[in-house]
Amino acid sequence: MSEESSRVAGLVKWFKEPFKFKPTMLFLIPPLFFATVFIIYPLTQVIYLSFTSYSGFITPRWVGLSNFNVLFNDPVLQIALENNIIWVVIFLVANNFLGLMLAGSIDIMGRKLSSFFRIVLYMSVLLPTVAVSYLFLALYSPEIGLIDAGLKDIGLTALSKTEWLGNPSLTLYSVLGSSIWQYAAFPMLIFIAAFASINPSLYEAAVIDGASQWHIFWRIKVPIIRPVIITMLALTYIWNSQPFAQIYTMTGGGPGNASQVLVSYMFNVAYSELRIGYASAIAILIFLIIFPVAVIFFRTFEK
Amino acid sequence: MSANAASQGGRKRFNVGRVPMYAFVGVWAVTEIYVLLWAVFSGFKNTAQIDLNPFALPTSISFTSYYDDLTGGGELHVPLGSFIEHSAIVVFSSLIAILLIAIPAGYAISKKSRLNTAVFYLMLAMIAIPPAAILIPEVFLIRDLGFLNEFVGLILPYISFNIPFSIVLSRAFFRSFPKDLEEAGRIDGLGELGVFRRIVLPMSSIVVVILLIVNFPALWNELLYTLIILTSPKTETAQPGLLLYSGSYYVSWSNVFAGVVLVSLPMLIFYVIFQRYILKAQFIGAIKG
Repeated sequence: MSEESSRVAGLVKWFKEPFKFKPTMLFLIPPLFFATVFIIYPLTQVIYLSFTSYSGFITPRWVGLSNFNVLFNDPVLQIALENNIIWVVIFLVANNFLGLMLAGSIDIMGRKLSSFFRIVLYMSVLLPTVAVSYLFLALYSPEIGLIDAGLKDIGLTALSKTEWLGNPSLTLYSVLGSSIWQYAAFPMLIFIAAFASINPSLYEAAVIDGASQWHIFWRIKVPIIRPVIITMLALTYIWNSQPFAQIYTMTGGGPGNASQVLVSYMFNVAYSELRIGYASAIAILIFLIIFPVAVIFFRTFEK
Repeated sequence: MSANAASQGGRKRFNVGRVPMYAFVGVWAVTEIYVLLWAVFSGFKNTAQIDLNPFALPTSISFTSYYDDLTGGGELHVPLGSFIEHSAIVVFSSLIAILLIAIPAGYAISKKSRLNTAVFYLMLAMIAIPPAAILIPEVFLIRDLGFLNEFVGLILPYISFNIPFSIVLSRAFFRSFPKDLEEAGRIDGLGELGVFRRIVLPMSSIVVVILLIVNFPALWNELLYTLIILTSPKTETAQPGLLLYSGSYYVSWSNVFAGVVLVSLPMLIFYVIFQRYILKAQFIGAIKG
């Protein structure tokens, strides 16, 4: 109640504050220009287009909600949405969990080893996604791939002819694996920085009591950096929940539509099938998946 | 730090309990190094040698694949060298524009006022809009402006999508800038702009570094927009260019490996130069600050 009234009071004050020109306000013109012309205006347009039928050439024709009707009954969209959800959940959990385990391990290593491992592990994060996807395309390939050859070497011949990308029920997970491998060092780096900022006095007592590092890690260090972990989960969601380059390079959404995700499907619908109106409806779905979560995150983050 | 603490706890001898930990991190590191070296060495082979034994070290070092990729020779005639050049033009121009726009704007909104708060929230909202969701109308806009297949047609969306986060980062930095220094400048008779130019800017080189390490990898890596906006060989960039090495039935592996290395090279050089700042994860501190 009081929070509500103070918010109202704040709002009143906000409007009553007299406007005073300052020369630094001129610095705000370019970002406001770019945001309006190249983000907000296109956003209004994609909303408009989603209510039309449009091939990109003749003028768009208003069709009301029919694109959204199609959206709810499109079996391929259902696959893409399911795949996208699987991607987000597994990527979010695996990437941050592996990042946390790597960070926890590197945190208790000596100085030299720790900086060596940080340099090496972070390499893949900076490689272009298309480049890493190509390398995994090669690794997964039955002809020249390391993975099948390795399985054969250790005697798992039955598994050695696995079609990692050709098998419809495996393909999404194979792509996911490459992406998790590539990016796990990003949360790792953030968590290492967080661990390093913990005051050692907080766990020294536990060390003297003979607690294991494993125990100290899970019971003391991880709870302390919990806010950082939550931030990382939210940022991973905002930045990595719409994969495209990996899918486009490694499978093109195939075989069939087995590894289709929302962005790759939207891309096909828009630029292969030229169904701009329907593609815009998929774009709205992409927007709705990210925007509310980001807003909720930023709101809690500001407090 | 904590390693010392553990040894002070009376455990100087080799700790068996830590073997899985070293194995985990060590194996991961080996995969990183292996994959990179595999790409570099395979680039020294030709496709027939790769098919014969993909894991053997190259028997002779041949620069043919690298050379063909750079010049557009070889079987597929993909001029990756000029595509990399196009990427460099787009990314470099975008970076300069982002720095020139986001740093002053971040400074401006670091001061408390209703306008600045409003702009800050607007920028957060812009970050929350995924670029993929506005791809379609953005491409029409660029087309209507006559910028399809022009570098500026890609630079404009790149600037627009990356300015908001850059402003939020530089705002966080300027909020912790010592107020006394600015005050001293004002007493010396400098105006608002003078304070920014003479006092604040010269002390802000770390903001430039932070914005570079956040924006450069993202820009160099971008695929979705460049795939649609720059399609002519005169403007095509490195990421979609790399994709040209795999047709639907045939992949020219030696060119792929050489191409992967060439397209990654700018990033690796960037990593070597800014490693110290990147590994400190400094920008996360900037978000919280």
